[in-house]
Amino acid sequence: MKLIPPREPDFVYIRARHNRKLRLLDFDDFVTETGHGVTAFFHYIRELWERRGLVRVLAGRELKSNYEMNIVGFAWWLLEPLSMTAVYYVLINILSRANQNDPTRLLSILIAMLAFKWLSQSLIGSMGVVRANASLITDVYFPRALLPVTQAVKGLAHFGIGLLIVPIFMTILRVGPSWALLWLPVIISTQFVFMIGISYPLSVWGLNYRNLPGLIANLLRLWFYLSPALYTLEAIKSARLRTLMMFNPLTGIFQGYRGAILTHRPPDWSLVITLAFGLFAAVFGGWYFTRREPHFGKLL
Amino acid sequence: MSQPAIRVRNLGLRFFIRSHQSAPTVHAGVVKFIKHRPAPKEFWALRNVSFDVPQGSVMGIIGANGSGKSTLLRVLARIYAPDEGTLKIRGKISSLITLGAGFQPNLSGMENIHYNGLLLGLTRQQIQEKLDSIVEFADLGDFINAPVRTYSSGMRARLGFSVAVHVDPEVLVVDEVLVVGDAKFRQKCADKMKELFMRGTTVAMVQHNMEAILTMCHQCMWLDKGTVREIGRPYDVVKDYLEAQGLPMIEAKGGLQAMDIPSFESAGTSGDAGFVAPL
Repeated sequence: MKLIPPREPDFVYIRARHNRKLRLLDFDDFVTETGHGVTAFFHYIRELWERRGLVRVLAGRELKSNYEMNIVGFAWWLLEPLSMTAVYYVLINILSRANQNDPTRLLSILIAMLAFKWLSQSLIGSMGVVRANASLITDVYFPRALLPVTQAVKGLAHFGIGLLIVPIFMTILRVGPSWALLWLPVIISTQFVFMIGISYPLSVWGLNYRNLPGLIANLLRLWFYLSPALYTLEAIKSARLRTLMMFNPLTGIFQGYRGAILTHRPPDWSLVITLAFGLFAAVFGGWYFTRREPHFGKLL
Repeated sequence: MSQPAIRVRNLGLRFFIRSHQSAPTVHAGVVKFIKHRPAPKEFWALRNVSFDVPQGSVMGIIGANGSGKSTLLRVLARIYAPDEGTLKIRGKISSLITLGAGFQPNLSGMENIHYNGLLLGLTRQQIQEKLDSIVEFADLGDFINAPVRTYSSGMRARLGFSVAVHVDPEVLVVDEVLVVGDAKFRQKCADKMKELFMRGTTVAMVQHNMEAILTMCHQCMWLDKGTVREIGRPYDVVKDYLEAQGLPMIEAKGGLQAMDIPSFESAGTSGDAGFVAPL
């Protein structure tokens, strides 16, 4: 515990040998100051914004190494949502009465499957993202909060390509486009914010507990069935249950996509609930992440 | 007037020595929660470390292996956050801890410059501006367009060094990475470092080469088992350090006078530099 003091301010003796003036740094120019307060958090957010270019590079790196950026690679990603859509469609048609058959249900399921695939893949990816970038984390500093975002961005690239097959189905099923399609960017952004919010705590816990992804994958699947993805919100008879489901953040997303693409309706209040939930999770999840982030290097 | 570029007070960093090898599982966590197992043993890699590095000066850090030198650099480079104490760094910081951190083996040298530069905190535009200079400094010839996996370790280090020194940091943290490449490149590195020092860059560097400490540093710190054993003039500290090891003092050719040292007005810091007692 004993601190041995320096003998004297030694650096004084090498003064003034050149006349070159030193650059004076601004007082505002603190890059680092240890602290946990609100100010530190806002500093962190500013830094995050300044370094946002990294997200594209990190996400692009993963896309490149996974698929070599070709269209076949993306088609491969589509395989699962497409096959699952087929399975669910057949299953639902068997289970429900024949006179209720509605071919557009196929499109309804497909949209939900694509959105869910984006969500689940990014969330599960975010749990491993810290460990996957271990060598970066122990060697260079960058705001680690960018890492979960890379997963969401990577998924967004997939999802964007996935949406391209939707017009094909729209043509086959004779679903015309409408102005409601313009809501898509809003819904996509909402889903993005929501995912980021959830992925922050998950990426911390995923580092602490190595078998968490398996557990979360099952929970997500359960959540999917509890959300109006394979069925519509309107199909639920109980009004109370319907109100309750409005507070499920996934409801807003699935209903929103379905409204924009299929039923030509603008998103309802459930999307606002999703956004509120997402913003809340992003702020508090992000704050939690910044508190845990300094210890990542030690845990790896 | 002149503020210290690096100010460290009572810094402590602890590691937990975990009995298991990899991260625990969820069920293990639940069991642990129920059973209330004792907290893992902690190990303080750094404790009560306090020092100032005035703007534009070079601080050499010496010490035996495992004394916490590299850990300290990692704390300065913000890779670890201190568990106690405070740390203030003024200015843009860059670290030369591992060269070519995060190089992508499948991308070409050119692409890796972009990637690595962004990681180290350059903007896209800055990288474009400095690209020629980086390529020229690395001096890899046509290999710059070949994938990095085809590089030798020396070439990789050259590219990494080249990108890192082009970050133009105000504070630079250097682990013993200057010993890369062949004699010619080493000389080039030394020249580049000297240029950075001249520009008023504040440097904290770990060195095992005592001669380099004597010739390049303004201050020297001797770390021992995670605490500061001595801070002072390089000559004194190196002498004590070598004495403690039973080694004779080495003669440095030229000493500080051999090198151009930036003008350096840190007299004002003497008031600040009073070391605070550990809480």
